[in-house]
Amino acid sequence: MFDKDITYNIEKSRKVSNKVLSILNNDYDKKYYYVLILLLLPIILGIYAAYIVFTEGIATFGLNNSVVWGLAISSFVFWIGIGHAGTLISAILYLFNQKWRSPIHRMAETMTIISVIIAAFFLLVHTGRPWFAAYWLFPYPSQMGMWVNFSSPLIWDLFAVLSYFTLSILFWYFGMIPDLSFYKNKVNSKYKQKLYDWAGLGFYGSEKQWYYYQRSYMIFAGLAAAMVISVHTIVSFDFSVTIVHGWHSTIYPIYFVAGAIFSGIAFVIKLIIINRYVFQLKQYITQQHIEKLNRIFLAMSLIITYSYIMEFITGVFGGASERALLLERTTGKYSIIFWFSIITNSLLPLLYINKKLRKSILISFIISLFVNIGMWLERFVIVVVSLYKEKILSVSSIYFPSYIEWFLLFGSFGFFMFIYLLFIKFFPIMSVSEIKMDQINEK
Amino acid sequence: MKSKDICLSFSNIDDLKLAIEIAESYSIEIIDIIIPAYLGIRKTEYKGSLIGITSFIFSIVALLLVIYFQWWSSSIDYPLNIGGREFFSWVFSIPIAYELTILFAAIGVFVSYSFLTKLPRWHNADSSFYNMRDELMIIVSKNDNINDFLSKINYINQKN
Repeated sequence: MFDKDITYNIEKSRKVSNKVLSILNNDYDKKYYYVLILLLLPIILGIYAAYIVFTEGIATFGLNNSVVWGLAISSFVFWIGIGHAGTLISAILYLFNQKWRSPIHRMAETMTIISVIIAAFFLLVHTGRPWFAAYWLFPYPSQMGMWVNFSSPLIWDLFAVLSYFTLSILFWYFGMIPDLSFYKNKVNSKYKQKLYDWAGLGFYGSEKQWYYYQRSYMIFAGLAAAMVISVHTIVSFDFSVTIVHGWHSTIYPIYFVAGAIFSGIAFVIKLIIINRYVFQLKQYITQQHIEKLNRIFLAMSLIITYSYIMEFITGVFGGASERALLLERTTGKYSIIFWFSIITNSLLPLLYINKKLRKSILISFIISLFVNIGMWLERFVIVVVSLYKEKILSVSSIYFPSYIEWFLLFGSFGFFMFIYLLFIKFFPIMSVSEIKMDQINEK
Repeated sequence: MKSKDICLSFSNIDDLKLAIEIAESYSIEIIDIIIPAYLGIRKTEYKGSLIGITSFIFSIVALLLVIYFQWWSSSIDYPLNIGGREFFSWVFSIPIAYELTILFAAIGVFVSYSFLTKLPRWHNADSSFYNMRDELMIIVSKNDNINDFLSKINYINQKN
């Protein structure tokens, strides 16, 4: 009659429920609101910059005849990459039955959703006037009755980002249904009670509901894993299907996917360390979590390094123009950025060969911070240096982002933190039902 | 929960399992088992494969529609002739078709889950009862053996 012999400690289960409830019912002190107000500053700057771009066009960017893509596209690739770690932690680790993901996957998934929104914003803002761009992005016929070009990687990209965003929202929400139902009568706020009641769909934890929930979640995870790999592959097609030197490379899909996971995990590490400290979650987010994330981090760093080496070999043996590009990257006007990204992305993570350093919270925080900066700069090098070197030397001019572009980038980080703080206030930050499931032990 | 049903609450998984065993030995119908997390404690007759099948159907329909739409818009509605050939390549239609196939498969999972579990059910008359708790509960239907069943459960509880 019974599938397996198990033990289940209900007191432990209550303990984790109460911990998350205390965060949800916490009347946040003034510091929380001060931080929110402080974050309004970059957001206002970002909105101002977006207003300028939408009214005056991309002439306000520092772009020139040779460098036609700049900070906006670098930031788009950066943010969409950040969004990868969330689904990786939730879906791929779930499929591999890695139970340690339970306390951190909700934070990572939320990070995914916010960062994909920001990435989509950069995609729109780089067009200057998005309402004119819509007709060649969305599949509806123009005034001439002509459809969009479905063979264009830019259209693939739009579909990839929108599909990924929708699936991420669905996966995030589906995973939260049991928790919302659980807390609907326990939270203090009446608004939260109504929200949870509505969003919890009336789930009450019957055996049947749980059974189908498990089956559905498994399939969701499989689908999300398939999508997470494809999305950044398609983002890499934006570059690799062109004939620009430095972009036209078959290594780009794996290079981009590994880079996305790498920078995403760096972001997750920072986020969970902050949450661990602020909400006293040391019992749930342990050094083991950081250590395991750092192992994946190190593996991804090695894949990135391999890609760098391959690019170097292509540069040396790939003909005069490839050699010129390699020389420009390593010794040209942007070489400092290039070498900085090599140090942060390839050399710094090698410290994690040492187990003690992998377990160190402080070291992890510092390294992940540098890696995020390095990965943003790496995207900048990919986008800008290839274009700068590609054109006829007489028209090549150096690109430096305008203050409008910097404001947009600054605003995107402010927006991320602002929305994340709101999420903490309104939704359970840990997947309580999954942590409870992990407390089940087979005898 | 109907008036003829009885709900028993336990704080120990072994007690819950024992209650299930006793209920089945007395031929008492188990209406529902309410648990705080999926425990997978007994073999069920639920058809989980229905979710996979629905998801597969959604994905196939999406795949065919998306490829058809790309072909129709480029070859029928606004035919372009490039080098003597229509402006459609199945190879170039793969990325969009792939993404939307996965997306619709996921939507299929959600739809089938809602259908199988009859969710959402916001306006439940027993909404105060049907809440998730940190308790292990079993709802059984009353029959002639119910008193024997309850006394045995009481005996076990006192023994513990």
